[in-house]
Amino acid sequence: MQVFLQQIINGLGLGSIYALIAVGYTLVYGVLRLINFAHGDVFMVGAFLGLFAGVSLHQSLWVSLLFSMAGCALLGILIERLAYRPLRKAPRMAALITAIGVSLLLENGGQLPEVFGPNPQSYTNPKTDLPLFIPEHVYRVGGVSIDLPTICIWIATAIIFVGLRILVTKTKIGKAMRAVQHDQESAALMGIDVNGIILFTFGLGSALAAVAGVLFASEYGQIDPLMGLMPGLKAFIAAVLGGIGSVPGAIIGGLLLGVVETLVAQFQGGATYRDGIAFLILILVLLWKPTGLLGTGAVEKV
Amino acid sequence: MTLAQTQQLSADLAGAVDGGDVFFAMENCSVVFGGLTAVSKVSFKLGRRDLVGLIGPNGAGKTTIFNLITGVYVPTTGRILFNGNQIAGPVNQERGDAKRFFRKGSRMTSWGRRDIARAGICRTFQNIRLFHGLSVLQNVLVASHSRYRQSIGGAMLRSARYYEAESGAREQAHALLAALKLLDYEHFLAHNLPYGAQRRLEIARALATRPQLLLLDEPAAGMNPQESAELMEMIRWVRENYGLTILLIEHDMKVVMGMCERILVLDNGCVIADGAPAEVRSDPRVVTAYLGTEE
Amino acid sequence: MPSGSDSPARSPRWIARAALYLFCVAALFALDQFVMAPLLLPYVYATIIRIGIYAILAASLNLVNGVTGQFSLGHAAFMAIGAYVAGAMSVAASGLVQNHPGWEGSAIQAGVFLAGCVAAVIVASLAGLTVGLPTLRLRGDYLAIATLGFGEITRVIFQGWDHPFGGATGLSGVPTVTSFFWTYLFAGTAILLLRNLQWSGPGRDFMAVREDEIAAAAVGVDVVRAKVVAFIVAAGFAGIAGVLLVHQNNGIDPQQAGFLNSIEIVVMVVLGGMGSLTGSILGAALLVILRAVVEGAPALSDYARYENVIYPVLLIGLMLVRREGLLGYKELSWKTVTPLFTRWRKLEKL
Repeated sequence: MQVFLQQIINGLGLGSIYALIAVGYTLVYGVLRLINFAHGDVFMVGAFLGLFAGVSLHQSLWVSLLFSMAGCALLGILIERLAYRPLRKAPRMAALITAIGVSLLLENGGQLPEVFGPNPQSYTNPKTDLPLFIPEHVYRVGGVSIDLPTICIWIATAIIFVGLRILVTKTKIGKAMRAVQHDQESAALMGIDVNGIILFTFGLGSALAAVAGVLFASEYGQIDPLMGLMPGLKAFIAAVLGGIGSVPGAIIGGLLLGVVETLVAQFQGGATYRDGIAFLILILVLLWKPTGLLGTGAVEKV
Repeated sequence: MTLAQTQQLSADLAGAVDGGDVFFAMENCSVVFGGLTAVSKVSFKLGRRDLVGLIGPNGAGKTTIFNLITGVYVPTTGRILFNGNQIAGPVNQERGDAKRFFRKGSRMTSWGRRDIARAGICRTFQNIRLFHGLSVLQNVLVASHSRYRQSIGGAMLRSARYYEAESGAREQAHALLAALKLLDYEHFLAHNLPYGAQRRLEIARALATRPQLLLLDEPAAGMNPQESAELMEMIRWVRENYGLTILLIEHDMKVVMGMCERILVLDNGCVIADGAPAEVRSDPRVVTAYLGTEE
Repeated sequence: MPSGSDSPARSPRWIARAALYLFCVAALFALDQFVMAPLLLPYVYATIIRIGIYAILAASLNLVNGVTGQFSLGHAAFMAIGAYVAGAMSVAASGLVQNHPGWEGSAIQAGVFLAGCVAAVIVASLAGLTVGLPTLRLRGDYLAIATLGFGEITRVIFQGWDHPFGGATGLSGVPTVTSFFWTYLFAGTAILLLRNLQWSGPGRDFMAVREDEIAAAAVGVDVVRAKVVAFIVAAGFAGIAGVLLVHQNNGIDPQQAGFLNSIEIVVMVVLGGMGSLTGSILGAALLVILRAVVEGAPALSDYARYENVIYPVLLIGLMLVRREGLLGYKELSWKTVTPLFTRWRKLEKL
């Protein structure tokens, strides 16, 4: 039972990371109907920017986090402006191919020695050899252990969820986002700056990916240019599972996927089939309920 | 035999007889989309070689009726009969059907779109839906495939059967293109055709399935008076030549009145008039539907 | 090329066609024996073989992504399935041969290789069926993700399957059988069959599905069947490519079933122009040559590390500048290539 509980805790920790990335997918999909394949790689860049700020610039967690968020937001906006906007009127397949291209560019470009280099880097302070931002405290509650980074991830997820709720439902820009999500053309006719909203959404989603990147790196202690590939795909699965376009759905999907994966790895006694399970879930969800747990479908027009 | 069984049997017999001699019938069909009734208890019959107009104000449910007939929507109530088959309507759950446990009694079903097309009902679309990246000839050939079948292996190996089917299909396609004055455009991409020719190509493509019932959704939309007069002439010729039944949606009253022997008027999802053009024109309900009531 | 699509009224005599085909096979064999193998540098020879293998992969993926308008990101998985099946057969056979002196000889190897081809096509096609059926309801990006998921699942399965597939380290010890002759025999046949398929009734059904599924169903096209058949046929040919690859590289590892390898094939199809068979072949040839030059030329060794950046840049640049690829799917830009091809162009246009 304790083992089971421990796995649930671990799963929720992993799931929160997925949830944070999935929120970015969902936001972007909402306004642009595009799977931003590069999102997982923005997450990777976020982790590297955090490392750079912490080690080379000797900054604290908060400043590094802000630095990383700003950098990623800028990256997201650049990607949208340069790669996606010219293709907004093009067939969706073209945009999808471009998204894959951007993702590969970030991954393969990141592996160049001039950029991040191909080798894994540890997320530690080089002088003290201790974890860079968040110390590895482990708390024991009734036989179940929880470490500090996991708690930080939970808190961050909760804050971001509440913040997004308020942003989307209460603020003017949130209403504009929903309007664009619903119908770009009508939104434009109502005087909403659609391009501005899309850029804002990309920036926001990328900044959240940066948070996830820094926290993920703090938890797992090692980063490399390909680290975004799998979490990115998994987070997309989480977004589909929860219903793409829905922020609460992304959070629920992320947590659910994290728990299921961890439990499968536990039962199987290794990580071999862990990646397979996520994709199996994806295919099953797409077949059984393509709109996901909380999504709403569109009706085919004849 | 219990009373219920007797009733069932006589109902079955009535259904069989009823379906047997009717070419096409829509009986008491309704469609409800989440509380909104798009089509309400519509019933009408079509005979062979009829040329019937379906008119009504915007949003009256004309295209919805086409979508019902072609299997895009499943009716909420009622049934549709075609050539003695029920193509949409209630189906009694059979013994051993797994779904019986979840839905008791009868449920509404419809044939698939492809099966309906192959059974002999074909349509055109209000917003032209050609295969834009294919040539005019290819557009027509695609529609003839259920008649001139080619196997995958035969096509890959170019078997004798393949050549037979291909040449048959091409002969038919050329005849249709000639009939609809499209032969000059044969190798054009459908996308590059002038607007009127695109509408004609949709009709040619529908004819290539060799339908018995042809549904035309605003075939003259966007045409000038001369073009639409030509088109109507062509439609009449097609009906004579191919022995078809045609049901046609049209906004332009003048056009419909001029060519159809019978007109169905739809308003708010209900048939409000059904008869010869002259009758329909003088029907007060029709006038009200089109012009509104005077307060 | 038979002049089929131009004048379908008369079927050429099958004896004549078979004789022509056999003559081509013999010519290919002679070309390999007397020209290619003895005269070319091994590196160049291997590169030419890779071009043929990737031409099969790109041409078959084009059937799904270009002609039928579905977007598959899992093509490498079918290739890997074929490679694993045939590779394992060859490894098992060479084990048997070692235990029975006197059984050696390239004839036995070639026999096992051909049997492997048959098995690979069957297994890969079945895999295509299992992917095709459930993914039918999905469109566009969802289909892309689902097929990507299929590829990853395939990779994971092979990673965990120790016997006879070697688990995470993969299959090794596969004898070298693939030659110029075998590669181009299969590549030529595959391309011929794919061309025939694309410019025939079923091929037009595929294209109709790509253009407008609703209209296709309305004129009686079996949309479901068209998609499944496209998947199955493409998977079968990918399986053949896998057999060739595994008998050239002497093995395969699970990573090759994954996402990145599939993307590589997608890049080839996109580069050539989605929907254009000739374009896919051209795309495959260009990218294989590019890779071979960057990796093989000593003068470029300093830049070899940029190789992996070329793909994505090419992909993004193509989408932004020339979305239809080099040829465009209508194969209309032939005229600009060379007037030599005008006769072909007529055929392809129907």
